[in-house]
Amino acid sequence: MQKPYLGEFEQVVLLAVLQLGAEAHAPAIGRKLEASAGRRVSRGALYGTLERLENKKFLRWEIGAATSERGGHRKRRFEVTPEGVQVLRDSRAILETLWNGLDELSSESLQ
Amino acid sequence: MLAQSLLRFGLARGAVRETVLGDFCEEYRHRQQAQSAVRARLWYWREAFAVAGRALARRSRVGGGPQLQGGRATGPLAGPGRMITRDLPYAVRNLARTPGFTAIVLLSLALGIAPLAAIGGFLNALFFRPLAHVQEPDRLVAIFRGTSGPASWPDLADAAQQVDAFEGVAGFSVYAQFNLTEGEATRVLTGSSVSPSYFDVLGVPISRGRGFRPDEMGTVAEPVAVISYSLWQRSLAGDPGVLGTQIRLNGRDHTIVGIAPEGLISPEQPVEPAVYVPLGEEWYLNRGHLGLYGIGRLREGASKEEARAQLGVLQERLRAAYPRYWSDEPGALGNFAAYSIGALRVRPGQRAQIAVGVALTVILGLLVLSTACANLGNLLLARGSSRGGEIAVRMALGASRRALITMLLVESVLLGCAGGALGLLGAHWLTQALAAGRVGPGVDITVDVRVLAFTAFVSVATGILFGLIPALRSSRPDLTSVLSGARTVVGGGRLWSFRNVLVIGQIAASLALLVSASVVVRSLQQGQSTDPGFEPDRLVTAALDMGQRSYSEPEAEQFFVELVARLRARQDVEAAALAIDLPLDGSRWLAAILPEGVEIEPEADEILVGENRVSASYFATMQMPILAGRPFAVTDVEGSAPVVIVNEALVDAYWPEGALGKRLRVGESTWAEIVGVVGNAKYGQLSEAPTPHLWVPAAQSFSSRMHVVVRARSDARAIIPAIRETVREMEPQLPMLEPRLMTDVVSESAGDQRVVSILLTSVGAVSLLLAVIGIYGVVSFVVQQRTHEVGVRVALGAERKDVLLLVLMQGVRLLAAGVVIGLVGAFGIAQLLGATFPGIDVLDPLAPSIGTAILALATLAATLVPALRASRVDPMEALRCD
Repeated sequence: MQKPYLGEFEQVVLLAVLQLGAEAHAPAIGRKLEASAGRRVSRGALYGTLERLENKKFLRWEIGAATSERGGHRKRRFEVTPEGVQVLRDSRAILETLWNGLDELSSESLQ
Repeated sequence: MLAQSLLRFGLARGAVRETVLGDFCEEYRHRQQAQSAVRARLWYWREAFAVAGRALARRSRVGGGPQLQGGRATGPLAGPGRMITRDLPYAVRNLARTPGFTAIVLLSLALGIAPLAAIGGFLNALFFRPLAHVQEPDRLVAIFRGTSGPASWPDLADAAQQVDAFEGVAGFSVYAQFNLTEGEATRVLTGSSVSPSYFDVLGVPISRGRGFRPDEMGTVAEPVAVISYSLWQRSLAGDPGVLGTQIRLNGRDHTIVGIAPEGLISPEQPVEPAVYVPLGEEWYLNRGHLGLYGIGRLREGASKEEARAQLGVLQERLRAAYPRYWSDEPGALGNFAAYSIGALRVRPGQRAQIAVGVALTVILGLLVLSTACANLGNLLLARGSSRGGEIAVRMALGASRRALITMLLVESVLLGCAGGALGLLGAHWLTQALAAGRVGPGVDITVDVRVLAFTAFVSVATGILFGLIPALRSSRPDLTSVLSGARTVVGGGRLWSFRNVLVIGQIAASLALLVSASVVVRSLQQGQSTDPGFEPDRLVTAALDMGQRSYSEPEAEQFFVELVARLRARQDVEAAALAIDLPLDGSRWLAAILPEGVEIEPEADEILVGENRVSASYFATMQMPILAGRPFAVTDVEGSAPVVIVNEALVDAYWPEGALGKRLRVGESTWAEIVGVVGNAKYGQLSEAPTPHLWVPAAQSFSSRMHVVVRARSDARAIIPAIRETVREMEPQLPMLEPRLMTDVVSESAGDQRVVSILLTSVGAVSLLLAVIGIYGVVSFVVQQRTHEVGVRVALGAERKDVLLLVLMQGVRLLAAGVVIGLVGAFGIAQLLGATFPGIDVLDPLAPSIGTAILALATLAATLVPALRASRVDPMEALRCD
């Protein structure tokens, strides 16, 4: 079976969900990405990606309580599934293999 | 919020949608605090578009059938498929390539569709949208006094007890104003005073908190309020903890006991009341205070006819018991009337008038839209001619005419739809602006399916209708001449060419609108120059209710007398007085009188006249002329001989030979002597005929709720803080309604006409703008087409001014034809206006002159720019180019 592929944006979204832990709902994820990546994150793209990740079974969500800050609407909290953690590990391993050698290359070329 | 509806519309129903709405709400608030309200709003719109757009696209892909797979056409498709896959992207690209043209067309369409969408939304809210949240609305019956007037609470309470067919009866006031104090700031809210049973009778359960209890009506130590959903969301941040907290209304703390469901409107007031309070003391004991609309909920199985019959019995009983308030003189309020509350919220007495009003607004909307459509048609024609080359090539390569027409139509329908979407946005802003300026009925135009469908229909119809002729024309070019580069002489020559007809129509429509606008504005000015019978300039009024501070009546009287004395002692105050009622403020007090020495048949009913209770200085303060006798004196107090002052109309009715010294009885009281006669004034509305009215000294019949009337020496506005300060010095906690300028009270009494004049003027201005765009477009297009010809003329010796004149004449001919047709149309609209507002002079010659002058100037300005351009044509350039 072909290994599921994780796009760059999907990857950072998954990582953000992991880091946020219990606080991982869409606005927090968006803010986190905007703060760390330093660019605007379209909410359309964000929701699309969240849905894709859910379809790929890397994310799951549960509905939380409503607060007044949210106009009485309830909150959807995301969580990375074990499959999601696995795919992140895999892609990190792949990337690390690929990154190997870059440091020597750049230091050599600088000399 | 419209953007929220967009989001709601885009996303599939369910839990996820709710969480996304919550996310947006949260982020919006976050951004509002971190950045600014404007940026937060922009962010919301942009992201809502993005999210809803994606979601819609995804949903249509999932459920869209076999036409599209992976976004590409599979095999040769029939019409619709090709339109979507080929023509639509082409049209988008093509329009994006000519942003100037697209912007002008979209602006025209948005301007044209916005008013019609607003009108549609307004009519929808008024007539078609069922009362939200109401359970079993077919069991609700509206109860009126007279044909469609308000009743008093004691009347309605009797109906609740004695009419068996009703399970419950409630009363409510409409458009009641409340001052909400938030910190230092005070703002005015529109709310409703309701009887405690209101929410139960209406069948609207209050899920957050509770409704009112019967013991919360009247004078209570701890007032309570129910607030609207939107007030809760906007001012109190949707905090679920607000129940039990206080808000300050009319200077008094009220405990919030409940939150009304979202978008709850009352049956007689299509704008959502922001606050509800239980009926106060002034309502619940006073049978003469007519100001409450009644609703009754029929018992299971009872019919409207039964209720009507029982109300008939009750009204006879009430007539016997309270002849003072229940006469059956024609036109007096001697009966109950009951109608079912259907979706059609129009009272029978108003149908004809409302039908004319509806016809008028729809005609206005269509006129504006048609001027916008004329622009669309014209610009598309011009575009068609400049694209002649492209179309000819397509045809030469074998494109069928039908395919070409489809292609062009897709483009115009796309423009129509985009324009419609912008128009909807414009309609939203328009109504918000109207509501913010407190103009118009302040109906909340929620974009529901009906409004959306209506606007979509108008947009698509516009696109097809006004795209079709240009499409037909441009798809039939003269192949050989176009491809060989020969020039065709376009337009210009014939006055009645299609394009000119469109512009002439535009000029005619905007002239008709401008003229009708100036007719109304002028009649309004005349209305304002009507003498109200007193001098409203430099006059300020403020209402004070001492009952709320639990003053006894003597204490209240003492307070008021002291207040007037203190105010009068001020340097900047010329005079001050007290009155229980104000002229032209919308409420009225009636009294049944018995004139002495006037033959009255024993069977006849008592005579109802307007009544006011005033302090001694009232007539001097109001500057109402005393025609005979004397004004009230400070010696006219309780215990001294009862006196009364009457107006000319009352004198004419009973004592044409002179009324001084005659006596009359007010209600059940003792005989009072007429000591003075004052000139007639306007009491209910500016347009009324002289109405009988009487005044009794406030000191002989005191009330704890009074208006203070103060005349300033110079600027009325400047003494408002002084009034507030004086009251606060005497009684720091006293609730006081915001002092008002009497001139505002008078001009608000002409509210309806003001709304129409603002409506007509803005609609006229929009269509004028559209006509100017149209004229400019046509003339400059013709100039562009005739550059070559002008070059030849100049080369052959034509002077600049000849060229200027040549082009200007083109504009003048269009103008002349448009003016003739427009004046005829204006006359028609004026007739309709005359039917709606009886005071309007439909044949006023000044209005058409003003309208024509404005239009002529605008047309000349629009023609001058291209004309100057033509006159500067360099013959060498013109002849050299292609």
